[in-house]
Amino acid sequence: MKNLKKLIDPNLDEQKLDQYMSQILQEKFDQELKDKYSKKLSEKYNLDKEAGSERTMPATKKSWVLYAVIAFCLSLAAFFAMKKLSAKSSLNPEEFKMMAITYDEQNPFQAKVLTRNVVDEVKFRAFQDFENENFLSVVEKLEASPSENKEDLFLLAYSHFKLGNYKDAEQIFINIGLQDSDDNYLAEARFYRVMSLFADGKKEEGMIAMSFLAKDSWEYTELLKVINR
Amino acid sequence: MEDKNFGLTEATFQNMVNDLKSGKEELFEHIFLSQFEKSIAFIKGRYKMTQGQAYDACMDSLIEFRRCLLLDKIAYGNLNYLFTKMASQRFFKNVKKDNAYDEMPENMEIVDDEMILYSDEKIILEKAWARLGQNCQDLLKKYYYLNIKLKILAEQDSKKPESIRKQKQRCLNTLRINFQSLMKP
Repeated sequence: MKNLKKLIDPNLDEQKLDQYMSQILQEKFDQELKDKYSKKLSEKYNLDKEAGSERTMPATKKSWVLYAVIAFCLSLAAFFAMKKLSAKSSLNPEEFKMMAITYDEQNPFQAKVLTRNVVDEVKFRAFQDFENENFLSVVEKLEASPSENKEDLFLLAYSHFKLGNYKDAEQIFINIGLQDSDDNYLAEARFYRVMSLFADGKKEEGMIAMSFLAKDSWEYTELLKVINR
Repeated sequence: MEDKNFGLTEATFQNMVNDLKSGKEELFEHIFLSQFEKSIAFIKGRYKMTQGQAYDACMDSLIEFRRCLLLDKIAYGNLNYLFTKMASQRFFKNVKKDNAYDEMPENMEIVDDEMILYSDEKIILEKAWARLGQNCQDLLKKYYYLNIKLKILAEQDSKKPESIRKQKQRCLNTLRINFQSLMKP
């Protein structure tokens, strides 16, 4: 702590204090900018520090054929599953959109937030905002201190969903679904990923995503309930 | 001329700088992030850097470039050349710094004049900062990071420079008190 001790030294002269403050805040905000730009470069321009444009691995002719066959089989399966699902509901995409937007499950995730032991103060404030349903503030705070923690990601995605940022929400729900550390939030993330697609007016994509869910899963059953409501 | 300046006309360049100064970053980000990959490819080829080294050098230069634009230290002319020059200098600086740290004896003190925070101190800074009110955060950021003079800040808020100076002092004291309370075992 010796550097911070220098800053709180009551005998520190004003000029020195200004100099130290400039230095630590420059480091803090430069880092925040770098994180923000890195995220945008990765998401918008597909450019990462390590892989960069070399991220796409060259594929052999044989593997392309294999990919094509798999893709065809998946599309076929999705098509039939979608047809089966569509039969359950005659709603048009706009009605699906309204159904997803107006869906309110009374935010069952709040209880988990209340009981958690948060050490980080910024996150703690974000969680408080979440409980108060101040979703804009949640997004601002959680995006300012990015985390790979599933719970943080879920709160961020859910807040985006509530704010109507369905594309952002869907992307984060997908990322949560890709984490296989444990089952926490996985079912909820899959459920809301489909809901985000519906809310974004993408009924068919939502139906395809839904058709890939296990038919005896919580998320599939819940989605059916919402659709048939 | 535009091809030497990231495709910007002089007027667009000026708009971008004015936007940046008033806190609107969209145009700056769009122009520089869309050129980022090209800049990396250029300096990678020229100086035989790895992807990671070129990425870091370009990112550091982007932050530096932004700061220089805010301080009116960069004029329209040949921005592409300037940016890649900065990136290459940054690369050599980074390499030098890495080597210097490798050679540094473990018990060697860092120069007293530099305020480099250790990772636990950074966490305290984040917590102490989060405890400040929004007004204080904005004021300290504008003064210490964006280098906006107190006189200008006073004009923007229709206040007297003296009262802004006192406000800044109060915010600074609060931040230092926050440090103190968070550093207690």
